[in-house]
Amino acid sequence: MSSVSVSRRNFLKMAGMTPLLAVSPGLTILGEQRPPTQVEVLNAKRIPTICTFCAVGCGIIATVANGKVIDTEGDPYNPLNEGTLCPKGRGSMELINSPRRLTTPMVRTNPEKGFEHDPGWRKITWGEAFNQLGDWMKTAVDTEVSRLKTQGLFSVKGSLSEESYHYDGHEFPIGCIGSAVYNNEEAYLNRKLFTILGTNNVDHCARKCHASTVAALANTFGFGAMTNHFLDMQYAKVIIHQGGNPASAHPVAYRWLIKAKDNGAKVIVIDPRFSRSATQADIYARSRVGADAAVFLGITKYAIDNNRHAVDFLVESTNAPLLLNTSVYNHVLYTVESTADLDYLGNPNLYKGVKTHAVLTKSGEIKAWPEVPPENRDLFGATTVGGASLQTVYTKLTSVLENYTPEEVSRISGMSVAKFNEVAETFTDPANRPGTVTYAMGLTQHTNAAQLLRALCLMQLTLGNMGVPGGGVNAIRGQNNVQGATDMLVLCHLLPGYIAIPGNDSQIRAYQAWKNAGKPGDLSRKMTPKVSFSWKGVGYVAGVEYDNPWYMVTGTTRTHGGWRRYEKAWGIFMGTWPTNDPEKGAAISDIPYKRGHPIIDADRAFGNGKFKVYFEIGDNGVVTDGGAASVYKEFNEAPGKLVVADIWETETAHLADLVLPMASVYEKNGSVSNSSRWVQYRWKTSDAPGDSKSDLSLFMKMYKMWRERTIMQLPSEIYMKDHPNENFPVDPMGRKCLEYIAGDEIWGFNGALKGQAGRPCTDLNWDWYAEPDTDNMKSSDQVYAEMDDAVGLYDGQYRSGHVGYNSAVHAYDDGRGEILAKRRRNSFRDGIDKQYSMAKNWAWCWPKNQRVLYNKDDCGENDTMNPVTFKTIDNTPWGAPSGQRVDGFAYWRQGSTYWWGKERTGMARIWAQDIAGAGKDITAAYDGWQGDKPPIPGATFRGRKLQGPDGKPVIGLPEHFEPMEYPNSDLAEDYPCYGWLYTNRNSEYEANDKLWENGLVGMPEDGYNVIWGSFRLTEHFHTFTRNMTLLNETQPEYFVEISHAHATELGVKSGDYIRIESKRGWVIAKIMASHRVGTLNINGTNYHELMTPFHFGPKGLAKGSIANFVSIGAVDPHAWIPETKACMCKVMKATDEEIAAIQEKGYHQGVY
Amino acid sequence: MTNTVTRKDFLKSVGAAAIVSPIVLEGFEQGKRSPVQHLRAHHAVIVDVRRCIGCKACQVACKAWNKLPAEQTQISKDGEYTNPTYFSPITWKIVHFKEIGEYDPEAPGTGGLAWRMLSDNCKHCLEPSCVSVCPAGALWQRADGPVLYDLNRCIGCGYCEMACPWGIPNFDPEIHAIRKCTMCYDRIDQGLEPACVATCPTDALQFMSLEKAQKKAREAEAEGLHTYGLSEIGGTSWIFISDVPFTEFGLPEYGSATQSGIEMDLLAKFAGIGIFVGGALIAAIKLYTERRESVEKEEGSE
Repeated sequence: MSSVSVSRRNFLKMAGMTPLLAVSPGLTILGEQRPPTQVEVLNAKRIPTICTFCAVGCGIIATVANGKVIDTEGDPYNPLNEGTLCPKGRGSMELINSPRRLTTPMVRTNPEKGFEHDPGWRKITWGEAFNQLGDWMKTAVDTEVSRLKTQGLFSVKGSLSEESYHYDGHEFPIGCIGSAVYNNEEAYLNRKLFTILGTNNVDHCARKCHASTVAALANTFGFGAMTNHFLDMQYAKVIIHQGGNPASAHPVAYRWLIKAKDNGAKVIVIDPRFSRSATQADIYARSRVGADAAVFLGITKYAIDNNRHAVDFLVESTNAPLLLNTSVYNHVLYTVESTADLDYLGNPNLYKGVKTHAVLTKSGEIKAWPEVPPENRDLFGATTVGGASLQTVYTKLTSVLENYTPEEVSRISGMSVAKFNEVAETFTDPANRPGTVTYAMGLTQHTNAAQLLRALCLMQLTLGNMGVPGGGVNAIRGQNNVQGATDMLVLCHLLPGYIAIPGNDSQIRAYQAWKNAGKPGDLSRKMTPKVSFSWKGVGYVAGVEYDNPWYMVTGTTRTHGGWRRYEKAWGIFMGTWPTNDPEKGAAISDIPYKRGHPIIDADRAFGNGKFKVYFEIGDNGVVTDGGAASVYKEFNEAPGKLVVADIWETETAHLADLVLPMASVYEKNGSVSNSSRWVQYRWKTSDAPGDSKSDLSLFMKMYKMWRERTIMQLPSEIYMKDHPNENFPVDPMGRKCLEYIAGDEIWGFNGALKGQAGRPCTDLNWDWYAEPDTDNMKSSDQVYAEMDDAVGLYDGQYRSGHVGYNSAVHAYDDGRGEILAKRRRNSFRDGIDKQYSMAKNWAWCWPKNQRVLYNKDDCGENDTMNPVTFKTIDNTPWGAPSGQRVDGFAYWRQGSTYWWGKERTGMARIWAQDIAGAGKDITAAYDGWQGDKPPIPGATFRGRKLQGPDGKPVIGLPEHFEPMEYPNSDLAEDYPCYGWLYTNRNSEYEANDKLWENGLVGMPEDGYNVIWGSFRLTEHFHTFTRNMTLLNETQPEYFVEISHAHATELGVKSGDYIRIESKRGWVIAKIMASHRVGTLNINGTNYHELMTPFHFGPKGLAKGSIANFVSIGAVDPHAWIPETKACMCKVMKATDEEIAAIQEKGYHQGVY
Repeated sequence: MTNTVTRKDFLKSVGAAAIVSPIVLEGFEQGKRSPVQHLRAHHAVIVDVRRCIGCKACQVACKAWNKLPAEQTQISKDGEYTNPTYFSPITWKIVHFKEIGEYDPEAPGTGGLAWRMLSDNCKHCLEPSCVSVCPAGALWQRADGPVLYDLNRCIGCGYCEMACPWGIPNFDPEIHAIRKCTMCYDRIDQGLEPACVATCPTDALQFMSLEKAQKKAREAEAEGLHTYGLSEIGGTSWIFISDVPFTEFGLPEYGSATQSGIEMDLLAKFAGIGIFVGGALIAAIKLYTERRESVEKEEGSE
């Protein structure tokens, strides 16, 4: 199987180049002689686009004749797929051409909701739809403004310092669930639009897919993204697929994985089900859903016990050798090697009194690590020095690992000891480096997901698999642009580019002081105020250089730097009035305070009437949300209005009050970020059917409508209205504003476009794309350019030298005024690029076109890099400001333009930090466990195995925790559900313990003793391919997989129906009995497992019961991701009535 | 599933996928390369079962390129993902799924369980019996491998259906003719791989010359792997390599003898049907004999 691909690819390329000859009618000498063709093909065009399905980002060439897409084939140029496609991508033209697409807006006439009722759609025009929407929203928003006024916000007070003008982003009565099938431009506009409306109640399906990945990876490494990329997987020597099934869900990713296999890599599949990926496995280990943390910790222990851990890597590139300051936090491992880097989480208390990065030498001395040669590093043996006990991050880790012996891993996961040893032996074998781990929803959708993913990160760090080609933690994302939509933060807890949401007035005041200090860049410890001002009792004089006090205590990148970008790019205001008095002025913020409702809570908030208008744009929550039975109930009973924008009449659309027809991604221009952060460009292939509009157009038009009907009023505008006599500055357009800095040379990037340096106002910015249209590439390109300004993470995708940082760093892959996502050069840049298949001339990727995260895979053109160590000759990474040096790992921090050296890498600094971030609340939660009020009656939930020396769990390092519904109570006593920590959260809808109160949690004692897990098929994509006949043919209906043994026990066989029920709901399903699923021995007891695809629902051509009616709406306390992958159920043979019902309707399900 | 579009409508749009003017974008330099002429070589496809992940892209690509409508299906009753389960006039490509063994958690490797997929279609025999039995001369083998047919000349007698060792040609009552895989001769002619091969993400399907394919298969055989099509029924243009026996996928075991035996069986079976049929069979045998002679001649000249 050696070099098939090369010749193959050339062959395909040639083909791609060649104008094909028409298959003319009447050619009798060839092949199937066919009737004369009816389609005019003379004007056929080939248009490159990016697939709308999974996040591999395969290129598709659409053949378009007379404006109609007649075929969709793989793009032979795209280095990701080289002309190949999976069945979904290959069948894309059916999605484009389907007669079942929505074509006009529709409003409900039948007030009775539910799948059994016809909504009685009345077709309306867009104008009517907007009027209706405006009416609903106007009432809601006016009520909100008067509510805020009664609370004392938005009102003139005795002294300015009492005044505060801002929206409460959590309480705002409008919610929006966005989509991961947006282009980047649309995702960005979605968040921007709702943010300046005043709500942070914006979320999208990243919440249900990789929210926990972001939480775990970002807090371990720095970025919450897949570390390597698809082509890079071919360099792995050993691969674990755990909680993911790339052969099924990302078939084209398997193109690269099978290349690794051709090169001799070992493939290990750890999965409850013998999946399609297992067909390629050298080792397959059956393991329980939700038990993954134990497996990872067990492998880490195995590596250390067998002396296979990467000692030098741990010393040089992680914080393993750091000494702990146990007198400050004796059960929390917060520590950093230097106070220089603490802007990440912004909590100064974490870093008090922490000692520096030090190493214990063989002679027992403690020295700063760079001074200790590798052979003299002895940190892993000793726990005492000169009689004094010594605690390092590493000793803390090993103390946690002690518990995870092969026997314990086996007890938790159901994997046999022999099998675990085989897996661990293979993966940790030093001959098998680098090793990579790919995963997807099987790891992320758990109440302990962020914990178990941190366990995975630690395993990879311990083995030294990070930052190298062929290694990494490869979180393969699901939707084609879920990475982009996440980066644009169509999410409730952050703003585009992972910027923090303001929480209170004093943050706004600090920010104003920061602005007054001359808007220092993040790299500067110094500041020279432009305006004299005082802050916290200290006076600052214009023109004098001071140390920057805010640098230390607030995240200037994640707050101030980011907010400044929004202020300038969006034409909004955050700060105080008057601006030169941060202490005594009124605090005004156009960005709403507080995070909003994450997806499951948002559903509940809508059901409870908190949201008056709830948008579901390209989301099918009633099928895909965890605990969908409850969501169905909430959507049916909600007093508010449900607005669904989609390409099909989905299950959620069926419950909507207003349905808007949208364009598919193939019908619009825009950029899209794949799972490995590659930002590629989609060219529009054809017009959207009927009156469908692009999301870009929808948001633009909504903005105009909201402004016209004063639904959108910025707090700064209300402030100016309330204070008519103040002397506000006037901008060049003659408008009053709160801040106008003439000739602001640093920040005047978009004002310059309009010929006016300084402050663009909100409306002006939207005027750029005032009349957007689906095929108006110009408007989407303008948003693309704006994103480059407004979103630090995507800085560099377009222009150079615009924002207040050192423009000299924009030296490479930048500065061409070019939309880099449109690049289609698949030639390799140089030898390194070729050797490691980085394809850096193809499109662009963040950060700074760096394809392997935490590795300096790019360097100055005059600097040669050693391809093995990835060190440059003079160890200067590309892009470092002069004077900055690194040894090996370089790291580009988000929002920064700065390469962080070894002593500044995310890995070195953050490893021991807990995903809880600031840690306060989670510590309190654990403290809560010590009280006499356990969240669940009858169980202690103290976690017998999790107690540290002082009776509290070791926080900061991950442990195994049971799912909320667990098979074995004895095991759950040892490892309680992490999800119960949620009880301490303050929102009325968020608490996991509501599930308990409402009787929605099933206990094994009550007979819920079959392990339920869900999975994805190759042939369908989420819930939106069931109108594509060619895919329906290959997987026509809903089914569940159970073992032969289980089927025999139930007295059924393949093709028969069973009933599956949990405390939330029940479904009737056909079964497929096989040996691919089986029984698991958990803590000495055998349990059957049942695996079900989740694609099906009552609408569409291929129908089926909604699998998630059985799953649970419990969420991870950090990431708020629902536990869609693990719960417990009862299984029984379906009755004759149930069988008759499902055969008649095609689905049969119910809510308890 | 409602297939509102009739098969005839689909047929009408056949040929729509021909392309004339590629969009000129960066990376798409037009006219630098010329079409490749493959007509001289005998084309073959290697199907490597070990590389197949069962994604069914080949199935969908086949229908998409050939504008074949979907069938109404149900999940199969044997616990497998195979769907559709039968070849038909509108299903020319099937991925057969087959689970082998049972999982033992203590056993090393994959625990004694394997799951294999075989992408199956017309094998384009080197000495096709469908061609030899066709009384109307509607089927023929092109010099570069594909076994093709003429819808207008087909009289719908169904002999090819019976003569084919794998039941590939299927009579379509709607157009009153047989239909089957054409090896995407129209794509081959324009320098493209067959649709199924082109889309295969893992290169489980590989397009190459017959000599190369046979060499590859022989090497695989030497490694102890199973092959199919190297010698079966005189050899086929689609050659399969697998680490499990092909009987697992329901492929019958055939010797290397060509189809004369089957022909005689057919003759015996249908001897009494009528003069026309008998005559047709005789004509078929005649065609077949001629064909075999010519093949032998070619082989002799090599």
